[in-house]
Amino acid sequence: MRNTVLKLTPLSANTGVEIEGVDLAKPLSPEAAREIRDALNTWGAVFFRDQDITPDQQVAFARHFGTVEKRTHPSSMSPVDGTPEVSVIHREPTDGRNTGGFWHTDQCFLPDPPLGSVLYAKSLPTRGGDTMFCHMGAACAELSDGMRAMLRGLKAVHVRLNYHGIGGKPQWGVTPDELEAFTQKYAGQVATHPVIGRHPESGQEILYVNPIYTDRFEGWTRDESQPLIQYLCERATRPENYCRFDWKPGSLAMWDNRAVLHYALDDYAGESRTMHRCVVLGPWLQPAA
Amino acid sequence: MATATLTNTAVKMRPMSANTGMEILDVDLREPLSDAACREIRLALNETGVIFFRNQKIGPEHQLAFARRFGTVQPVEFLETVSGFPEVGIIRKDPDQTRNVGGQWHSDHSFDPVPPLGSVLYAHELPDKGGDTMFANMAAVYDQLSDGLKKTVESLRVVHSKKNAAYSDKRAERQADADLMKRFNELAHREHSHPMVARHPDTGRKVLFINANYTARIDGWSEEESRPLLDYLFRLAYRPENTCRFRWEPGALAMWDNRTANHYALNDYHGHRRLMHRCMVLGSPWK
Repeated sequence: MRNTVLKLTPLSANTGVEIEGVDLAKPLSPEAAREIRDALNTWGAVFFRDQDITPDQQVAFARHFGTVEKRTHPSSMSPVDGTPEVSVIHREPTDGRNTGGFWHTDQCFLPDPPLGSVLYAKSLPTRGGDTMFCHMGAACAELSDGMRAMLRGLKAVHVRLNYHGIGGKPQWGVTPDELEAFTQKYAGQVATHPVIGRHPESGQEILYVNPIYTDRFEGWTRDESQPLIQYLCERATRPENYCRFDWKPGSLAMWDNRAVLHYALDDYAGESRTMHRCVVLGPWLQPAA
Repeated sequence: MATATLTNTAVKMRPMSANTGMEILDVDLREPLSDAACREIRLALNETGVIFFRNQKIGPEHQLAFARRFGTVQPVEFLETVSGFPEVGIIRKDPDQTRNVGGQWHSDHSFDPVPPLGSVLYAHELPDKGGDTMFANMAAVYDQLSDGLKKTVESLRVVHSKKNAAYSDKRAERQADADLMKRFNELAHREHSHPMVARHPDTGRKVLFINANYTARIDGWSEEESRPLLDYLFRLAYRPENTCRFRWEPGALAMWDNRTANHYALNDYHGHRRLMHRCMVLGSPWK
C-alpha cells in the first residue's frame, strides 16, 4: 500500500492502525477516503486522534464505508438529538457493567450483521475504558492447513441469549427473573454463519467465532462444540493478534465488524464515559470455498 | 443392547455393563472349543469389545490354542517371554516397582500400520486388592456422537505415535527404568496415521480409533490444536457409563478386541506382585 496523503502508524503486528493528517470535520478527498478504506481492509480497525466533529460529520465519515440508517436503539443507548443515525453510549458512575466487556462481534446472532461501527469519544474516565481489537484474519492464517480445511466445512450457530444465560443459568450478574424475560425476548435471535468466511473486500479468510455468542457447530451439540470453539477463541485472542486503543476525548475508531473481534474493558466503575456510535451496513462475509 | 442380537445355544454369557464386556460362563479352556461356541464367543467379542473367563486352570499351551482360534499369534515385543513359549509375554510388576504396563487408556500397538486383532491376558499372581483392568467400547462411543460431529470425525485421520507414550506424563517414572527407556527411544519414531473412524476389519462396524496414550494428533493439525477435540472425545469415551471394570482373580482370562476396545491397567498395588501372561493375535487391515 502506498500512501500519498496520510500517515499510518500500526498499533500492533496485525491489528489496528492510527491515521494522521485527516480532519474529519471536513469532507474527505477521494484519495484519502480510498487510503482509509485500504487501511481498514488491512488492519481491521482505524483510529484518529484529536477530532472535533458533530454527529452529522460522524455520519458523513461513516457513509464512505457503507450504508448508515436511522436505527432502533438498544435499551442501553439513546439517539443523539437531531441525528437519529447516531446513538449515545453513556455510562454513569452508579451504573453496573458496561456494554461489550468481552470479546465479541456486533450482532453475530443476526443473519446479516453490520459491516462495522464508527465510535467517537466525547468524555472519558480519568483512566481505564480502553477497547481491544483482534484481527480474525490473522487468527485464521495461523491455524494449520489441516485444521483450516476442516473448519471450512463447518458452520456455527450464534445465540443472542448466551450473553444473558446459558442452559437456563444466568451469567454476567443477570437475575433468574431477568433471564426469563430475556429468554422470551431473544428467543428467535439465532443465526448460522460459516466458521471461516471470506472478506468481501480483501478476500482474506476470516475465522468467525467468538467466545460468548458462538454456541455450537451446526449439527454438533453444544457440549461437543465448546472445547474447540473456546480453544479457537483463546488462541485467536492471544496478545500477538490484538491491539489496545487508549481513548482520549476526540478519538475516533472505525472497525470492520467482519474482520475483528472487539472488547470494551470494564475497568472504570465509579466514573462516567460518553461515546457516540454510528453503525455501518454493507456486504457480509462470503462462503470460504 | 449388547446382548439383544446374541442368541446363544452353545455358551452361557453375562454382560459386564451396558456397552462393554461379556463374561463367558462354564467354559473350560483346557478343552477344545466347538465351532459353535467359538462363533458365539467371537460375536460377543465383536459386540462388546472384551470377553472374560473365570476359574481357568490353563498353561501357556492352552492360552496359545485359544488365541489361535482368532488368528495368528504374533511375536512378543517389549516383554520377557515364558520359557519355551516365545509367543507368550510376561507382564509382571514386582513389590519394589512403581511402574506398571499399560497404566493409561490405550489400545495395544495402535501406532502400527495394522494394529493387533487383540490380546489374551491370563492372571497367575495377583495383589490382595487392586490391579483391576478397565475397558471402553469405542464403537459404542462413536454411536453416541451427534450426526454433525460424526461427519467431521469421519473426514479426519489421526496419528498414533509410540513416542507419545514415551513422552507422556509418565515419563519421569519410565526414566527410572533406563533399559526400558532405551528401548522406547529406539522405537520412538514408530508412528502411523489411521482413519479417526475406522471400519472394523471383521464386522465393518464404525469405531472411533483413538486412545489417550498413543493418539498424538489429528493428521494435518498441530498437537496443540488437536488437544481440545481429542480431550473432549476421551472424556466422553472414558465416562464410567462406557466402560467396564474387571476384577482379576487367579485363573481369570480376558481377551479384548484391540480395535474396538481401549483398556487401562490400574496401577494401585505398589508393594505387591502381579504376574500375567499375554499373547497377541495379528490383526488385518481396516475395511
